Amino acid sequence: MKKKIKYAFPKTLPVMCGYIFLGIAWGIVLAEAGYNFIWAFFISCFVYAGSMQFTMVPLMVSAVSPVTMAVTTLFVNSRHLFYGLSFVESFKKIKQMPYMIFGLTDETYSVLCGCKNEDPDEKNREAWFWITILDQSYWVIGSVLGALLGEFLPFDFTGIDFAMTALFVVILIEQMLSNPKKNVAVAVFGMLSAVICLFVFGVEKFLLPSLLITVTFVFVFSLFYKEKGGSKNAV
Amino acid sequence: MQFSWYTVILIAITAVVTFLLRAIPFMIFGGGKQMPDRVKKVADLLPAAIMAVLVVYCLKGDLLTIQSGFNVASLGTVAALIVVTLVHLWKRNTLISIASGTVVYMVLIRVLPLLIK
Repeated sequence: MKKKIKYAFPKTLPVMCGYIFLGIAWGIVLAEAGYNFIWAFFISCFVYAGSMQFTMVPLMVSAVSPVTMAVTTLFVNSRHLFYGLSFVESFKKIKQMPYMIFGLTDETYSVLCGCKNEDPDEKNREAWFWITILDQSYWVIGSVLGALLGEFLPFDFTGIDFAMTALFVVILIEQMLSNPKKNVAVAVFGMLSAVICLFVFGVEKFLLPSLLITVTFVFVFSLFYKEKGGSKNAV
Repeated sequence: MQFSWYTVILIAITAVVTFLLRAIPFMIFGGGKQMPDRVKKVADLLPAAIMAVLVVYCLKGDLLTIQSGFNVASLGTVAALIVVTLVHLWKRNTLISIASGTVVYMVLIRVLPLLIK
């Protein structure tokens, strides 16, 4: 277990920077809406979805209908539909599979993609559970801290969440370097489609259309793309 | 604020819908049988594409300022992105790349507004 944590912990450091401080930001929002740290703890334990947790606070305050809540969640989190696809076979071999699925946030997904990319045979797969649970613990700790301390924090941490952007950029670079033939084309397309969708659909609604277009493109691309040598790990 | 079961129900709905969304691929392709090769190929190509979309998602605020003219904070973002990319190509060490980019970003968003008025 020690060995697995030793592998997992450094991989989660960027997420720690992001989650603790984003968690604090959310905790403050929640506390200002009138819910104390106990609510923060339970919501971050059971919902565990960053952007949706920000979205849900005003909806809780105005006591919207359950249907509104469900539909909003569906839209805000719809991108998660695609994350599991990359891990169906891998998670089957993990004992804590239900928790792995529950914990598949954007950031944990990214870290696990990074692990898979540098370790295609998944020798360290057993450590993935620790990555997932460490990530959630940062989020829970941040949320509770934010709700407890509110704005009394001693230092202005504005900008530290750039760590998350940097994490995504680094993982993307690694994917493109490790397998340029396969990954550069789809990455460039994904980026273009997201930028175009951002300007066409606006900031609130662009994520789902850009993912749908990108997944469609990847499907078409996969029909023409042939892996060399037939081996699974061939470059 | 007093305790309200209604709020608990709303939270439970959010939790369940979020989990179901994450679980759908596993419900479709889980079970005993293997994923079809066609789907496996797509799943194998998806991470890089999704990561690219997520990068744009993180930068959405800065990208939109292009429409409304120049923004000092966005300059910090561009500089920090260049730092992350160059440091990573140089060292290939994830933590060093992320830390240096984040420090540059945090310094620039504080210093740039003072320099450029």
